[in-house]
Amino acid sequence: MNIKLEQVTKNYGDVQGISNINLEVNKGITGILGPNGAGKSTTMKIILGLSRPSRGRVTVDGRNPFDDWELKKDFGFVPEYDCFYEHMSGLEFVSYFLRMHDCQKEEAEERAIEALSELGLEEAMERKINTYSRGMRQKTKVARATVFNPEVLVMDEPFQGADPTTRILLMKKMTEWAENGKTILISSHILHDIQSLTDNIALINNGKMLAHGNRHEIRNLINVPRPISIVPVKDGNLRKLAKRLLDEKWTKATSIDEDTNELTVETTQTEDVYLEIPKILQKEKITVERIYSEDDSLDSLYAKLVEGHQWK
Amino acid sequence: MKGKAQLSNRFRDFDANLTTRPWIVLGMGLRKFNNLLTLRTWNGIGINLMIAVVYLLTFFRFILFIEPEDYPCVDLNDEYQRCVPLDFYGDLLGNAGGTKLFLIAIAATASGGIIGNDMANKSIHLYLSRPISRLDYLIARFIPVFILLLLVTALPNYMILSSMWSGNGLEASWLLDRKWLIVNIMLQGILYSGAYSIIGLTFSTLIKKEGIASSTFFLFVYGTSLVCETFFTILNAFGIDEADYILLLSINHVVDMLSYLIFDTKYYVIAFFEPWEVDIGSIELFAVFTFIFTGCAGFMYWMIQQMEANK
Amino acid sequence: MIKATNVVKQYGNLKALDDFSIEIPAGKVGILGPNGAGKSTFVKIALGLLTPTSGEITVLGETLTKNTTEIRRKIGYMPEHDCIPNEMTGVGFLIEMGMVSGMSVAGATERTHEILGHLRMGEEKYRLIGEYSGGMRQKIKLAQGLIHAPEVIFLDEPTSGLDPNARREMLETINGLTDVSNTKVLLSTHILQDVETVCDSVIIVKDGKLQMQEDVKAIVGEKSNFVRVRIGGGSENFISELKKKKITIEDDGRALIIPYVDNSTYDDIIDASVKSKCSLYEMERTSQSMDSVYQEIVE
Repeated sequence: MNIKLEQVTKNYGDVQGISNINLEVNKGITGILGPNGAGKSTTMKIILGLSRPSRGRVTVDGRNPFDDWELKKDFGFVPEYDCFYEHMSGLEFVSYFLRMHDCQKEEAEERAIEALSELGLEEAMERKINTYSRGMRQKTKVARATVFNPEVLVMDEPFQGADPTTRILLMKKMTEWAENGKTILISSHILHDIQSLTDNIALINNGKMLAHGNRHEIRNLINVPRPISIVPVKDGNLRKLAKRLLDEKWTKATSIDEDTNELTVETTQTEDVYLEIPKILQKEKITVERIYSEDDSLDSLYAKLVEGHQWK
Repeated sequence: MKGKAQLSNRFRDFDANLTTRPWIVLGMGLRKFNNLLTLRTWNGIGINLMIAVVYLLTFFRFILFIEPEDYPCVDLNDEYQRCVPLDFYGDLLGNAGGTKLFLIAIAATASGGIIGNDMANKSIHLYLSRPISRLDYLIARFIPVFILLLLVTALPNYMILSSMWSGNGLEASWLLDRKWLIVNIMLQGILYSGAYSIIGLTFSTLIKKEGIASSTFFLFVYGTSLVCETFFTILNAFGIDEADYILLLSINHVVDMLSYLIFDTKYYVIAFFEPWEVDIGSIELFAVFTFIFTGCAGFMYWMIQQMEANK
Repeated sequence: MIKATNVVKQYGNLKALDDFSIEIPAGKVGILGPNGAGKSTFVKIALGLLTPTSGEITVLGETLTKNTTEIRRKIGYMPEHDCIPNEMTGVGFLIEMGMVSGMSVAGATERTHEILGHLRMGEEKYRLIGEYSGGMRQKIKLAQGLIHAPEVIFLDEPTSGLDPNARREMLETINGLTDVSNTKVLLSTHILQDVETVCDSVIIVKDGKLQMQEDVKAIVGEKSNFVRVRIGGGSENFISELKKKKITIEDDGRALIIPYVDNSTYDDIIDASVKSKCSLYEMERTSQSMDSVYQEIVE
């Protein structure tokens, strides 16, 4: 599904939620990042039609999610905070929501079992929710959303407090759902998780959209020299390669690290350099075992954007 | 200035130099006591006001109006005595005109959040991860309430005593003749302070909301006292002798009876403007008191133990 | 640092620790394991808060028997859940914690300001904890564990709930702890990445038993037999260039995965990118991640 936010502003009284946000999300996984209180949850709520924007327009497949009840059937939401009836079992909890939406008892139970088993809760689903661990709670919340087989799945911090097994399982499932054409929005503070899930991000800070899109493309829009590191196979070539690269006019700086046998070039003409380096390596007959840029990590991109390097 | 250039080592050389457990516990207790008397919180203001009331009462009810020759006790008739140190703990409304209401209110206000707050904000986990045992923690939380209550029990009583002493010309022999009285006043103060602090602490452990714990404690002590006294008078009116034992259910009365025992005076309950004699053996009294005291302490210890095991 | 021999801890029928033996070396050690694996029980036993049903545990050279409070002079503890009082100031609370550990007023005050300076807390340390952000609260929790200059500190999920910047700051602080002080670190967490960035060695616990104890570098350094390549421009040419050399390629949508034979594989890749005029963004032999090791052991 196509989600579109056009100049959306949402204030709560005089408290700022988000201001003037433009965002377009298509099927696949999109990670929503930002510091605490940046406006991630507000953005999610506006997309889900749970709150109405103070200004601007939000559309999902061209329709307004705030008052289109048919559209809302396609939404699944995993809230950040627990909202359980603690005395219910996981199975009762999930089927309860199905039955609220005019589902027969047997069918509701069947679908709930299916959704819970998909997330590995077969054994625990008869137990009361107040005996669940953090990970099981998160999975139950996800199952409550996915049981409706939604087209759009919005998850606010689904990995919060979950153990690694749960985390890995949820990530695997999300990738699967995304491959089946679902639109998934996920917020997380653990950038590493987002990085391994998707390259599409939206970064919000202070209620403003700092950047959105493919993270590699975003990085290319920031005009700050990029360090590119090269690790030759043989030690002897490290200084030779460094000298060779210093001859190039695009090299702004080079440095070598004897301990890791690593050479780093800083440059602003990134695209050319990425084309040139293989040529040089081939010409000089230097075998390298690793080419990478520290700036390619989401951690580094996040820090750069939040610190405002894109405006320098 | 000549000297070698130096870089300091950040934390490496730090020597924490820790003291021993008794000092930690005492320090914790005294700091908390200091906190109870602060004027920055409503609780603190309330406690200070009530302490002021107790001292005003002491001054106007006892120091000004008791004749030195009536101190400490006067005989009412052949059987009964009225003793000033006992009257001090009496009800405000009864003819004794004492400080009990404020005493219990102070105990309730001071103890309400003393353990409950630590449990509610979970900082008790941090206290227990320090080099003190669970029992040390309980003692450290008992000390402030206990000292505070001594301030409104033993101390004003000693003030009455010294005023009487000065009324008798400040003679050393007067004091020497009353050395047991001096000991008894202390014992009595410890009894009241100890009993009400430990019960207050128990309510604080049981109910983790400060205000509710305080009011429950207050209502519990006064409530059971009223109910037991009502039943006691009704049963006595029917001439049932065993009615005395019903008073053992009221903490208020148990402590009072023990305090009469300390002064070797016959205990009586005033109802319908007449004294009703209460005759309960001292062994039963001690048994009930020990039961309450150890029960409360044991319960708190168990609660804290339980919490650590689960979380 | 900590040595446990055949430790059993039983709650009714449930064995939280089952014949658990371990020797934890000094340094920065990560403890991993699913919920209820016995991690926190072990930590509580090492802190002397619980006594094991049977077995023996030695912490910092002292065998924990009856007098277990003494060991806590040398240990700091940072619990997972929020456990600091809102109605105290940061400084006031830390001084109190220092004094409860047995420090003098002057010592505790000096140390409090020293630690808060190290944790980069400014004037907000004089404000009430209730007004603090999540990151600041977490710093106060860490500071109270360090106040009495312990030899070891147990950290339980120190980064939970923190946003990326606060997380990074917290991890950097923990990482530097062994450099600036004599305090060693035992880190229990659900975020495998944290262990990778902070710890020297890692322990995996499951069902009350020790499953693995390994050097982090040894795990993460172990290379797989694939090279991950990310290129720009049309990948078709690049792929066909490699196919000419009979190299099979897998495309996972974000990068190309090429089987590693020997160092000539790298040359082949460079060669292909030159011929196909594709920019080469990333070329790296993938290594085993903490995720895969964890999964292998726990599942």
